Amino acid sequence: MSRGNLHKRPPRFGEWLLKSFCSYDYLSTAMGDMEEIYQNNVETKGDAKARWLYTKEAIGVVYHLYFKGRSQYSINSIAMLKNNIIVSLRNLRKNKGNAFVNILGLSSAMAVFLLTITYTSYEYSYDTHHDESENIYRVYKSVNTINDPEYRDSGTPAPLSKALTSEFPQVLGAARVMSYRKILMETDSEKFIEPLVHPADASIFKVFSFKAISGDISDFLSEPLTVALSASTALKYFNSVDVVGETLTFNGQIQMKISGVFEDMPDNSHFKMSVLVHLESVMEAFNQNMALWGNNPFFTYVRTEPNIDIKNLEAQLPLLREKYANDPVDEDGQDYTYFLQPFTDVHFDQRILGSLGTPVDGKRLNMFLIIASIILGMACINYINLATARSIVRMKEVGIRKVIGAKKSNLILQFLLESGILVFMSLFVALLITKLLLPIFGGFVGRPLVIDLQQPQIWFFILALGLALSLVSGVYPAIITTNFKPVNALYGRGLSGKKSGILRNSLVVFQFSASFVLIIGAIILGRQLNYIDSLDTGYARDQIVILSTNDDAIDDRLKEYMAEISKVSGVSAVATSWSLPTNVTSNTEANWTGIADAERLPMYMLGVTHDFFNLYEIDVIEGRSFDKEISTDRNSILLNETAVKKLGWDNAIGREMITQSGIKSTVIGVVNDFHIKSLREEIQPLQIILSSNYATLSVKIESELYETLVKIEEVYESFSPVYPFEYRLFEDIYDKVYEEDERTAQLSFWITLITIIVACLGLYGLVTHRVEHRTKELGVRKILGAATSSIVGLLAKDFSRVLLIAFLIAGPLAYYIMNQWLDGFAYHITIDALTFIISLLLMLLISVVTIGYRTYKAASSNPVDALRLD
Amino acid sequence: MKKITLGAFEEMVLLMVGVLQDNAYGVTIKTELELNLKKTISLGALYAALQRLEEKKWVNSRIGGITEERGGRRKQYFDITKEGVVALNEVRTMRNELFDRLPAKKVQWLKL
Repeated sequence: MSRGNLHKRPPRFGEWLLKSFCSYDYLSTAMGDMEEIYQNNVETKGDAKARWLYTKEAIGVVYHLYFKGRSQYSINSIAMLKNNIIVSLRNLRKNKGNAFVNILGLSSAMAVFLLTITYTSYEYSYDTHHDESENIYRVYKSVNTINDPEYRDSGTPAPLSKALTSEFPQVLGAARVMSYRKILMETDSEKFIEPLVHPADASIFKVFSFKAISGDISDFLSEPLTVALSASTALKYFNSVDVVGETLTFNGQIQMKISGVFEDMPDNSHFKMSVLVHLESVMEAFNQNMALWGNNPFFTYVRTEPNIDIKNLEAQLPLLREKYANDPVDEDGQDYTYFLQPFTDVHFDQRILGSLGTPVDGKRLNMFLIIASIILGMACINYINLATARSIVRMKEVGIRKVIGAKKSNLILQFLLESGILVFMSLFVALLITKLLLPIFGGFVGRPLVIDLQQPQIWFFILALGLALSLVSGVYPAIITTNFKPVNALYGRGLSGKKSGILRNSLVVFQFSASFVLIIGAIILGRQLNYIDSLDTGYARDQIVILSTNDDAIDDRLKEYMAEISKVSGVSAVATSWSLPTNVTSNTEANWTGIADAERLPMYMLGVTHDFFNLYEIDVIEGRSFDKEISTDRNSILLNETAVKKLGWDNAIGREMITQSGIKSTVIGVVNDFHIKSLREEIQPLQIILSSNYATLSVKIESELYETLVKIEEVYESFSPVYPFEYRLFEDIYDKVYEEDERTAQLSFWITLITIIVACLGLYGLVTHRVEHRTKELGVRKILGAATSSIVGLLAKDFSRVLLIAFLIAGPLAYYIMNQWLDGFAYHITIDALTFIISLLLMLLISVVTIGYRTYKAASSNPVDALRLD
Repeated sequence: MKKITLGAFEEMVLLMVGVLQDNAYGVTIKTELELNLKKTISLGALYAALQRLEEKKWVNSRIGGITEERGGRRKQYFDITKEGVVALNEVRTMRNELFDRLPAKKVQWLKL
């Protein structure tokens, strides 16, 4: 190599590794040899490769010489590491109080964080188990004639899937699915009521990924009159999974052959299919029209080629109907626009109505994550505050270390190690707490949550989390503590300046603001939910039982059946309706002769029998209700107050309207506004007609509930010997609607509690810091005659200021956030001053309790002890 | 007789130190070994072996002069000692004895 040739410098990391960890007896040799090889490699193999090889070699040298070889000299860095660990542990032991506060705060915050992560990551794992699940889409639609631009639903017509696959080559497959509740499935010897049965196309096995357990997946549902079962269903029916070729009877009418058994779908599927039946066979039996584009009971899922422009494809969808349909628009002039939604988003979309499965609120999940991160941040701030507070005590140690020759980087490393030890101890505790709480928490959110500690990813995550937290919480105190000039430190003059005080205070202000926001939020949330509870829904909920009637035998003899039930002693009313008053779903438009289409007011619609109003105690405030004696009531309509108001009619009674089925009807009465959706939503216009078509059968019971139910069951069994008797209490159904709100309320209570605890620990830390800082000052004050009370006041002044600033920041923020949340409710409380006063008082009380002890101790201690310290 | 423990890798290193005579230092030992054994050798493993050999007094090390291409660092040369040669010899004799006791017919039959 010529003299002029510039030497490339070996990679710093490798050099650092060698210098730090290679034993001295071989350090120089190794560095020389490696440099020589490196320079050769740079010429022969190129720069990047040479650098990589150098680093690899360095690791090898350190590994072999330190861990495997017997070096005669101890390695400085390693000895220092051991020493630092010992010092850190001693420090922890010396300040048990501090360590306890830190570990308590950090571990509870980490536990909250871990629980949240487990929960949200489970939610986000929904539907990801299919091969290339990013190429699966669900079709949904908007209805062009409904005025609500937000309105979306997932019902699609039967011919759509075929049109999609034949029109677009990039659509690899499309499958229609339907869902039936409570279907009777019979084997030769046994009967089962299957809670959910999904009629589906054979292509469902191509769109989704299933694993065949018995049979060939390409044969599944390929023939008419076949059925495919999940493994657990096959086991339930036949005690065996090897059942291809056996027969099942579907709904007591269709004989079906089992074409295959597949592995159970995992729990994190937005809908789980366990019994799949051949779609077209079932639709034929049920007389469903499979050619109309106006008939929308199907769900359509498609699989596309990878990386296609989905927006472009979506834009072409409106052309489909014109091209393929025999009925380019519905009879009543409705038309639809179709959209595609990524399959993995379906689980988080509550806007699109009528989805299979129960979607969750994606925003709420993100909110949980944010709150958990804030709590974690607060715990880190606690550590930062406590550690910087300790820096005054540690000053001398640092000074001596510096005088002896410690570099700043050594010291920073030492303090980082200390925070690392604490963080990992807390992480361990947090893991234990999480492991213990997870089953309870999982039951609470209704998900089978587990942490599988055998999975390496989890340890990676925990390690990364621990390292990140150690850095976040350790860096600032480490720098502060090591920044003293050694001489000042030894003199005891190294007190940090105003700057660090401002930072520390602003951290605490942040903590308190966060607690304030959460407390105010929790109070408002509680009051709003209370308010909703107190709202009158406009209908009765007590002593009402909803009977399930899924037997055709009952349908045929409904009148007789209802008459028999009303004869049972204890039953005061029996009525059917299209839907329950908690959630009216049918919609139509107000129509009368001479009105233009554009003026037609969208309305909900409910068909009921005579006793409905009486049963649910819904008042008719004008006119009259349907009368059994008046046969023309078949052509009568009741409106609710909102409908009358929206239509702008002064006197509604006697006006003529045209119902959806085209019958001219007369308005005979106006009913009290009752909530036809959840209380979150505004009451919509509603028309009620007399109809014996029904979906639900309600029974009002006036005497002992369960005794009467037994008698009703006897009546039922005389009508339907096959299906078991099933009923639900209306009260339960009602509660279910508000279950999620209730859950949020409980969760927010716990979260607020933990936040307050963490914030109080922070406050405690701050007080500790202040008191330690001013020990001498307080001592002097006492000797000069200050009373304990005046010293307590002096210390308390600081904190009330911090608290006040935090309140001023948090108040408007909480007001803004909670107003947004309240806007989601049509009927809500207004946020008043009382809420803020309560939260302020609460925080004051908590702070007084927290700092009281520490302050009092400082104020009442013997001043001699304080002054004798140096 | 003193028990001789000489691992296969150590033996190769010791041999190579002897073979390279005056020019045996980290890099040359590594490259020559890699050529002969046809596999990559970690410097760390090499140092560990040399360290053990030095402890057993089968090699000596000396520090060479400053060279340009090593960023001004000296080379550490290794020389095989008399005891080292004795050890190698003993190991070889032992192995040869054992090899000789392999049935001649078997060797022939395997066409070796």
